[in-house]
Amino acid sequence: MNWAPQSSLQGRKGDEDICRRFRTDFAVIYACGLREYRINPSQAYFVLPATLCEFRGRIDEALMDELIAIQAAAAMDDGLVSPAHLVVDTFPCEQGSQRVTDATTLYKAQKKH
Amino acid sequence: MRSFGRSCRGQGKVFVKLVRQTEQQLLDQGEAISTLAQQAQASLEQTTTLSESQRARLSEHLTTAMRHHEQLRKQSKQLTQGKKLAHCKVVNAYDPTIAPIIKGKSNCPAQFGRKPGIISEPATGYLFANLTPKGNPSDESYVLPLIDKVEQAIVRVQQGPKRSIHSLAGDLGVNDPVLRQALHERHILSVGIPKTVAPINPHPSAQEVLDILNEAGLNRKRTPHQVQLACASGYSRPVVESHIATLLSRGAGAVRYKGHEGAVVQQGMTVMSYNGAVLVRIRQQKMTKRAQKFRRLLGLKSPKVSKIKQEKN
Repeated sequence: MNWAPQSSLQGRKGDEDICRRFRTDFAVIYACGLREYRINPSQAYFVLPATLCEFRGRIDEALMDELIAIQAAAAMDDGLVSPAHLVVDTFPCEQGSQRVTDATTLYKAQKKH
Repeated sequence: MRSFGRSCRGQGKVFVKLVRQTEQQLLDQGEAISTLAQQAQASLEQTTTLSESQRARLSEHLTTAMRHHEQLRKQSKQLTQGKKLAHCKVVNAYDPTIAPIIKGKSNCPAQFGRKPGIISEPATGYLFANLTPKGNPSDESYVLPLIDKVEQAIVRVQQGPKRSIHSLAGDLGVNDPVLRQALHERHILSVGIPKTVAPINPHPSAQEVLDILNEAGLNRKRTPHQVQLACASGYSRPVVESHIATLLSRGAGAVRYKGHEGAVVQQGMTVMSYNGAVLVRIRQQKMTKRAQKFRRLLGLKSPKVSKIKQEKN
């Protein structure tokens, strides 16, 4: 599942979209372990977008680290991964959408040629 | 007029005198802001039409705005006096944690954003931890916090033998003698971190293995077999880049949530979904031959396919 949340105003729309996919997209249903659950057809959403937004807002750095640690510990418990040999690296990521400026356009145009 | 930037980027030209004059005018105009903010703060405390929570929220916003203004003013003054800026320069008035991306930008205009760090298993690419720092710190500063996070995950393991980190690999950016010493004190081999641009020998001789153990002072802590595995899993740019490329394709390339907290949440969620996909791939045994061999050497069990099929039937 591709987790690509949107900013501020788009955030709510993104939550509605993912909540809709909980009912319609088999890949999302499979990834979230909802195959066995019987969804009530009279309800518009399986998970309310407002609840998802609230849940996401309460996640902080400590909780996120804990979630990743729990996931890693479970994988090690099952003998699927080992922390014996590890590799460290960094990668750049942009903040927000890239602003279209004359410099960017000129740079991209030069690169195409 | 002064030129700046590398010649390969195409040098930009700027009218320094004009910039400095404009900067000074703006600083003069903004001189009164701190006085006005103090007056606003006093008015806010005296007002009776707002509730306590509203007042607290507005007061917090005002304090944050003033802090940012002070940072910007300090930075602008340094510019006008021709001084070199400090490491964490402000590039966005609304989010001081954003910094210019220097890494991998030798031939294009500098962009602003963040530089998350990851620590992964070289065979399958499973990410044990990630770190999204404020600003754009040096690469070696990522290593020990990431190792701490992995050790916290190891503490949570309940079954099987006691796990530990045997070796750590990284690029030339993390080649620091102090860091190597810190790793050796934690009984971690640093042979996977190159000292020069020359590639690491993946098959060291018995004498070389002994030398590596002596140099690290880990003779009785690490075995020659572990050193050989550490050399085999030394830093490899294509391997790490493939992990990063997969992570970027899952939405880690551009942070769309606001602020540092938003970046932490987004990167964390992306890492979790990426790890989920890696675990599915391991269970389905969709791995490269190199990964399969490495897992065999590490003694990691492979899921029994016949058992899974029986359960399915």
